[in-house]
Amino acid sequence: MINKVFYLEKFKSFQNPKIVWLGYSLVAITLAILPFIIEASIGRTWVRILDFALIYGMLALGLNIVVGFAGLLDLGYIAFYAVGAYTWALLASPQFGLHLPFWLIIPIGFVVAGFFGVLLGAPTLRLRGDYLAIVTLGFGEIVRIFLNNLDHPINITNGPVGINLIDPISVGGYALTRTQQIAGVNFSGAHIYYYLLLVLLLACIFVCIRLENSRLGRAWIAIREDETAAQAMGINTRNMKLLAFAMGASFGGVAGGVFASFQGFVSPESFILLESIMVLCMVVLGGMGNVWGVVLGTLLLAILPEILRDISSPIQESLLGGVWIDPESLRMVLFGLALILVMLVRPSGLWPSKKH
Amino acid sequence: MSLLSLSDFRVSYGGIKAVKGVSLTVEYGEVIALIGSNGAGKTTLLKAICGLLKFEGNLKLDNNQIKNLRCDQLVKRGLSMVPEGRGIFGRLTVSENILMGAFLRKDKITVRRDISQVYEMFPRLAERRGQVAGTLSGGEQQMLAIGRALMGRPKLLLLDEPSMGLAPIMVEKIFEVIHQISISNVTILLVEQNAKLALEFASRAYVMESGSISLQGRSSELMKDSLVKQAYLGE
Repeated sequence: MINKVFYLEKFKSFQNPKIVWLGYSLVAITLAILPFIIEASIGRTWVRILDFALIYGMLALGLNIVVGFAGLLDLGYIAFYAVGAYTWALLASPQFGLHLPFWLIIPIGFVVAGFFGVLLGAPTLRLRGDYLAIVTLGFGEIVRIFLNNLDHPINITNGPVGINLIDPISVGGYALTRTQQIAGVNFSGAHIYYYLLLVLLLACIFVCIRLENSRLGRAWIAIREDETAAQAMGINTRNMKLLAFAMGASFGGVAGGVFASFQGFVSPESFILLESIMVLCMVVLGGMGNVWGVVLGTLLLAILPEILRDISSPIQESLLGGVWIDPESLRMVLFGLALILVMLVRPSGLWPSKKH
Repeated sequence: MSLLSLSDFRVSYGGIKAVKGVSLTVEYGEVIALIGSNGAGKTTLLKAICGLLKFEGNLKLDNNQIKNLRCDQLVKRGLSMVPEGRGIFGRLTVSENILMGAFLRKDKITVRRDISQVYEMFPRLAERRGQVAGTLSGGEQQMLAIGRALMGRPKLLLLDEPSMGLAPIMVEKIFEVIHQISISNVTILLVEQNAKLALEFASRAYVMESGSISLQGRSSELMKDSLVKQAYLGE
């Protein structure tokens, strides 16, 4: 009884619009000044790390549509990121002499990656589980190998060398990767991209939440739970699965494009299998199917290795009196241990979906 | 004119012929039982009827020739199936499962009315509407599967082994409900291994043996048939 009353009270405070708005504005202010706090306290490189975390966030949310909502295990997801990145690189760099504006390339990247999603989805419609995983893994590798070798007979991708001097996003002639002075405050490229990526990520979160509670989302969840029963409910499983692949891929495509413009350089090396697995880890560790869980998982996995990089030498020195193990290897060992530990303690993710 | 009619209906898995030229009709408002031993091809036949497997031969639903339609297209034409082993969505709640049955319907008001009808039919489900469906007992899951199938407002309800793995008292309850449904003007095609029970509820029945129909007729007559008695009723 006491518990029930307490629950109701708690619920009321969530209902109170004033408190809700106060909460929202606190979060908004924190997000807005975060890069300044980080730069002042731990240095500018961490703003860049944060930027990459946001890009990974978009990737993880896209993969979550495929793996978390529709239950289709995709181990080649990074291919769509690669497609998006190379689409941007080819359309806005000296490679072909094309310099399209960003508002044109973003939708193009979205569509091209979505098309590749269908291209992967169509032949794998009848596959489930492990078999699907194998084919998607192959697909990811095929895309990477193509990018690596499409420098002859006609040079399209520049092969292993990659494409350099990619245009940054620019608004009204101002390149967003340069430091800009706005109202007396200096905004570095990493800062500006932080806001841009934040807006994109928030848009992705919004779309995902709306998707989950839509007819489409319910159809995906039904397919995940029992494909035959989903068909018996009148769900066109073929189209729904293709749509899941396409939507997930489009998210990856946009993330890839922004990545290319931010980095100014792309090469096949950025799209190896390990990256696919990393994004999958973010989804699984955070909580498959739960949008907020996925965001949490991404932030942890994108930032934890960097923290470990910084502390693995000092810790060794203080404990063992010298650097005995290569910090880079130790970092990955600790990272792996952390993953295993989380999965042991919380097997369905840190913040699981209630539908799991 | 019959609701469902099959003639020379054949289904094969690769080279193996599982259903070899079956002819079968279901009239409006009937309850038809399809009985037979394990591996006779009953479930295969049912799956092919509802578009989950490819078939050869003729299938007429509501006097329309059906060929190469997917399961979801057949659901639109008034065919609902309760799959073998129930096929409930284990991690969704009872009420979410029931709502999923109305996936194709856009008439929100009548959907709501049908939901309350399902809960009336199965008070047990109403008590557990917020519970995750995977935690229900076998009998409750079967009720849920039937209730969910009814949400599609089928003309023809296909039931695959509704008694499978249930306690006798639960089986009785499920069949009472099936009887109720048939009174409410839903035609039922019932696949069942429990021949005695099936023959008690159905008006007509077909006996399937290694892929073809070996016997057919009114249930009351089949129950007296010496072959049926020996092979399926254990008398």
